[in-house]
Amino acid sequence: MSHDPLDLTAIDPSRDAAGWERMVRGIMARAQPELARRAAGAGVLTLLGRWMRPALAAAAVLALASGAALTSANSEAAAAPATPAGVVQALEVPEPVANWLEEERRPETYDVILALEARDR
Amino acid sequence: MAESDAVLVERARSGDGAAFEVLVRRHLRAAYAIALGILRNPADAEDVSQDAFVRALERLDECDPERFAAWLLRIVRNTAISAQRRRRVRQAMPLEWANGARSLSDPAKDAERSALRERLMEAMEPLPEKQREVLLLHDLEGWRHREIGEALGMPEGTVRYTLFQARRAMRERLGHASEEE
Repeated sequence: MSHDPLDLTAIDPSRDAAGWERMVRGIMARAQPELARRAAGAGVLTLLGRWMRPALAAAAVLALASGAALTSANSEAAAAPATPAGVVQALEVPEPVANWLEEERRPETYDVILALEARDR
Repeated sequence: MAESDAVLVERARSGDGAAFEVLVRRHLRAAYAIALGILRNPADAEDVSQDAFVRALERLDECDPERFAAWLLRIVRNTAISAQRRRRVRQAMPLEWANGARSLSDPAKDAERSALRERLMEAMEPLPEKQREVLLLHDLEGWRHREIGEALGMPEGTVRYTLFQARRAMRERLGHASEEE
């Protein structure tokens, strides 16, 4: 019957235990350089892995510290007046302009006319 | 419990020789069966199986660890087909089916086995390549239809039918051979 398996043991290479073992040894011998290369690569990766963990932790701490410092600097800047009086004086900003700056408003046309008339007086 | 191919592949990727050796021992017979099916020469099949394992190790990172066997057998097939092309080009010597013969302890048994091997190989020679591969994987290596289908990219039903045809052809040829003797 064609459904029954054929007896192919005569061509089974593992029947000859010594020959089979030679074959396995042959493969393993030829595989050694590649296995060594892989083992060395894995060693470097492991080393990097060991070194990376504390480095990553340190980087995280630095990032947190930088973030905190930036946040604090931003809030200080926001709290400070846009044009401190000292700066206005140092730059010798004309009085009407200094007033507009202090009031934080845009001058209207008549403000400009009044300022020019006051300067001419 | 035996470790899965996937675990062994991961270990072999890191250069674990013991893991790779387990993979070799587990799949060498199947690799040999495929190579023999293509090359029809035991000595060439041994060489190609060895080459294929070394090549597979070099390319292990390309392999899906869950499908190692099918991937390995593809490498074996390609290696065997390349070897066959080279052999055709060389055509240095006629095929010697019995050159896989080993020195066994009993010379009479050795001769008997050698003759049997020769008959099997002669009966197998005219079979189409796929039939030889399926026959060897099933009847020599003991793979299931589903496993063969996955490895060779064939539907399970086709594997069954191919196996049926291969066995029938082999039985006919082996029957004729014994009638001639």
